[in-house]
Amino acid sequence: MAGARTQVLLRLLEAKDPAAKESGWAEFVTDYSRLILHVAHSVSHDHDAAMDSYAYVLEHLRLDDCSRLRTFVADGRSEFSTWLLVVTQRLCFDHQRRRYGRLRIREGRQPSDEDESHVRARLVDLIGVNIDITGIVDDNGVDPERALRTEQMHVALESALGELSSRDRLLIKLRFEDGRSVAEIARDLELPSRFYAHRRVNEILRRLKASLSRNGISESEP
Amino acid sequence: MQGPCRAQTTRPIRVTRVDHAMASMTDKPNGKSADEHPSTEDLAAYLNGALTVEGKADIEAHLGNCRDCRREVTSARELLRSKGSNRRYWIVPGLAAAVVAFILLTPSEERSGPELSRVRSATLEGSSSVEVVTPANRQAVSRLPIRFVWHRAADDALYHVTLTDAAGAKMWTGETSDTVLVLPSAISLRSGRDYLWYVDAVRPNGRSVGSGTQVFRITR
Repeated sequence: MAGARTQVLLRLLEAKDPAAKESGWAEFVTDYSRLILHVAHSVSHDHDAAMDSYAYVLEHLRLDDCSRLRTFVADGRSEFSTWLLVVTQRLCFDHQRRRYGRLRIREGRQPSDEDESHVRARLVDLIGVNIDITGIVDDNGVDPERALRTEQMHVALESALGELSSRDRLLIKLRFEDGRSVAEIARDLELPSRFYAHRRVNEILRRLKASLSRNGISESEP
Repeated sequence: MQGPCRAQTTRPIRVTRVDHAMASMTDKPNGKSADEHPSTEDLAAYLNGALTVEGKADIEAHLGNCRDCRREVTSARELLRSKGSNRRYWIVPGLAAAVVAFILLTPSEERSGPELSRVRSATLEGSSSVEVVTPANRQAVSRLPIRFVWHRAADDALYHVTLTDAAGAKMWTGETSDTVLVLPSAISLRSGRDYLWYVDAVRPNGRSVGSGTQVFRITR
């Protein structure tokens, strides 16, 4: 380990007597409280919840003679602050799940209607053909032939997406499922520029459309 | 091909099935399954750009199939970018010590929400919260642009306002020493949707109080 900040961690983990451990822990908290609180505020939606998460994180970092902190390996792959940020975020998510349950849907809303229609709308953009979304999701009274054709369209789409490289698939997911802008994607994936990201997305969509066409999918109606 | 058997097995198509299908189609370089969530160490290394080409491909193959992990990575990246900025998450050294002391000295079975609240409130002077004026909790808002208004908590406080969507995803933050902030027109709010906001008052001595989360709905 190197640097003053990791020395703080070293002193904490190498402390033997109780007084040295208390001193080391106090120093660690002083040094890293700002980062932990920053993460807690980001994850929690109000001040009190953030403070609860902050206390939860400190408690769990201290548990069992700082056993969690002892799992950090200074092999040069990551900075300790980045590692601690990831640990803190995961602890905050864990704290939220324990308190509020696993929130898979927005509060007070049905789980599938608007969220899934939003994703399906993006899927229409994705493949560039005018698929009738309402036809796809209509599970009441759809005739068997239409349902079969719809299933075939879906299989073809899955196949087309499966032909993409993992990076291209990630790019498409970030763009159309997560709603990230091309600028954000270019920054996160370290692409040369947002223009490059935009051209890349368009190229992938062209390939997907060509793949669907080869499988006989070019019409909106199943 | 059609018939009752086929009809009975037909099920509504859901986009999320793509994720499951793709999970089975992903290649697995280095023998590692793309279904495996990245470890803390691998994720930190990925965020710091320190993975090998193969390791990075493993992570990105998983991210292409796992929305939860994508969100975690996106959130972590934004935190990394912002942690160097002058964020005003002040904390009084005494508060940190009080929290630590509370955790160390109080048996875990005795620790509870109200206890921790007392630890927090014991270190805040003056009012225990910022009193909001508008949008009040559960208020329907029809007039735009949105004006966030609250009562002054302290003469020397800096107020930090946060707006999130109903799921808690941050949409906008603003700061002022006044008690009013107007939402920029560039931030688009949709009719019929709920939004959350809260204001934190931070004093130069590091002490802070908050308003708690307020919910409002756009109606127009």
